[in-house]
Amino acid sequence: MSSVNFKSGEEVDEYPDICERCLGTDRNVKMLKQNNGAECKTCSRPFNVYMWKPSISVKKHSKTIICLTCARARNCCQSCMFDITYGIPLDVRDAALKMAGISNGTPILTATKNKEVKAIMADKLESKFKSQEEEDESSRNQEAARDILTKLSQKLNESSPKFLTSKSDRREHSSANIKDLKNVDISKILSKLPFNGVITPPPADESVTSFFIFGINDDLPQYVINEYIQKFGKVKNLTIVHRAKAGFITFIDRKSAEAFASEINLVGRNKNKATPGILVLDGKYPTRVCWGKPKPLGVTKEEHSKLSLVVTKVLKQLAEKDKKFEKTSRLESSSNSSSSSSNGARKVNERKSQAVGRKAKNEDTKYKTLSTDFEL
Amino acid sequence: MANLISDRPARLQVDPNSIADDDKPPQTGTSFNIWFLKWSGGDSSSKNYVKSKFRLNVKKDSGSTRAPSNSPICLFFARGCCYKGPKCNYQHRLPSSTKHSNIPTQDCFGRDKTADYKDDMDGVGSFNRYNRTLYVGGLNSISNNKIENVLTKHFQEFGSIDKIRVLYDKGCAFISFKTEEEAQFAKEAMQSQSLDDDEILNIRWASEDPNPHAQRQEQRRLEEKALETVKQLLSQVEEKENKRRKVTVEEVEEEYEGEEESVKLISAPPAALPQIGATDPSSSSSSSFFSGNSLAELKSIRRKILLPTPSPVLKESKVELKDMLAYDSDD
Repeated sequence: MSSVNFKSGEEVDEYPDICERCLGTDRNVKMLKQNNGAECKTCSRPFNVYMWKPSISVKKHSKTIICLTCARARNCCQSCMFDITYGIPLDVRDAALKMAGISNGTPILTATKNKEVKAIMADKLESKFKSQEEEDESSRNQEAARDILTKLSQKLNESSPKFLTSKSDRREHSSANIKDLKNVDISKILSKLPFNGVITPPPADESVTSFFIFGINDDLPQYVINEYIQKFGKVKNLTIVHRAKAGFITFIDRKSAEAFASEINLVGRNKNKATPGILVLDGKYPTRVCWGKPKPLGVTKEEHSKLSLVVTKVLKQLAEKDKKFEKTSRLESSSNSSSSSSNGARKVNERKSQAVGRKAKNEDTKYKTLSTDFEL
Repeated sequence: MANLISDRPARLQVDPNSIADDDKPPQTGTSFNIWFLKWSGGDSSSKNYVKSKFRLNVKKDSGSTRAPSNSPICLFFARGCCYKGPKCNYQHRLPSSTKHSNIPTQDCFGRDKTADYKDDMDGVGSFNRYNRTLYVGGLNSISNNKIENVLTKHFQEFGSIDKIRVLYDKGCAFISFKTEEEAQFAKEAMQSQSLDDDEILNIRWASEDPNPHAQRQEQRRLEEKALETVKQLLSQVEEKENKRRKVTVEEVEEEYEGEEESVKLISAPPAALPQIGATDPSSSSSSSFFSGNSLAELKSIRRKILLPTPSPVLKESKVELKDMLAYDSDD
């Protein structure tokens, strides 16, 4: 029993483009070659299939699934379709190149849906590659790859804030929809939602074990909320409607619900206890939480988007309320501070004297960014 | 929890003797389509969805099997009907707790993906799109204010839910997961299952969200991911270069040795291989950056030494190819 040796393949000029990861860690790689053995999965032309075992312990053969031309066109491995120079997924690489403003070779193969067109394109590409094939292009590729990387990093350093700003997007989205939403009536839904609720004290009704959570942005994943609230006890219900920017959390018993409430209270992002508590998830997703029984959040798309507009408005108002409250409390405390350095006056003292407890200051700035975050 | 699972052997989900030979669903059409596992023809008005007889219980069923740690997950485990239990050659656990290297051309069960989705958006899925979202149909009988909650309860058993969007008037929902693997697993695990009542779910891959806002968000997510990977790559390159600088003193000697090695190659090819193909298994991702380099090395060495290849190798290989054909037709 022998097979076509990895290194002694009969055709000198053909060599599969396979990344090291796919080849495995064994010293010797035996490959089987089947001429025109299968249809290329992207361009649907027949191509030479190579099969091998990445290691002895693996039972399944690895094989090439796309033709050499397609792999070269996208600079990927013929088997796993990771980028062959960087070992990263193609969509990630393409996004990175696009961000850096580097045009990427041949997008034709992915652009069209027609199989025959793809095959023709691939044929043309193949002849192009053949004419291009000069001596030792791979070393040049290597250099080019590093060039691209450095270029990319420079560009990224220059323009990274641009990619990460998302507020303009949100604004566009909401303003475009306002017109259609004028006729939608959600007063019934709104009247039942506890926007004026509080996190402390807990309601007198012992049967309430649920919270109203609002200000949920589109990019806040549900699992982040879930992971956070799992700490306090078993969760009976979790309803999050991202379109409406709101949802409900119900705990299985009163005890865990109160633990949750007191945690938010303790973390205490907002000093004003008359407004719903601020909960910052994962350090970047601010939300507001208060006690409240689960109520319907609307059914149609329009109701949801209108509700989300109301939520953003309410958040703004709440942020202003909090600001006012803070100002007044500061005034009060500053009058006290002249006589005594009580707990309430700590903050003002810190501001006057330069010896500042770092932790407290950090919290203060965090809170400020929070309130600006809410003004979407 | 992960430790608990790894210690315990996997539970036998189904008694092998109790499985019927014929696993076709009850006849609702005139002919059975083996590709879609469905009856076709006949009266199409009667819905021919049949509730699955088995259901995976993650806590009870998952456990250690014979499978090596990098093997894919057992598809039948996900469906709740693996009759091999601890003797199974595939893993019995959730995708999040496996080390299975996720190759983009395969799903978490080791099945090959295709370039495009099937017409009905069912099946293994496409390797051209990273799809974390499932379409879930057949929710008509659940009351509106419960749907999100019920879906959350059932689907978060199999993965971290990112987002649930319900279309109340159409009785369907779109569920996004944190990763594609979780979506793949949840799709198999919940296919033809029912939630709290007796509805039967119909799960497909979601096609791309036409909402421009969602598209932009997805784009942003991809860009962030790209930023991260590029930063990682850069740091790896720097590391490599630093390492190289340390070796520069010995470079002349090394080159000499390399030449000698290639001469030896002619007499004993296998012995020379480790020199070229030696890669660090631990740093496989980092070494792949230089894969082009080493491939080129291989190429050039092959040209140097083995150009006058003896033809007998070829003939023998053709015998092998027959085996391979047989292998292919099995698929």
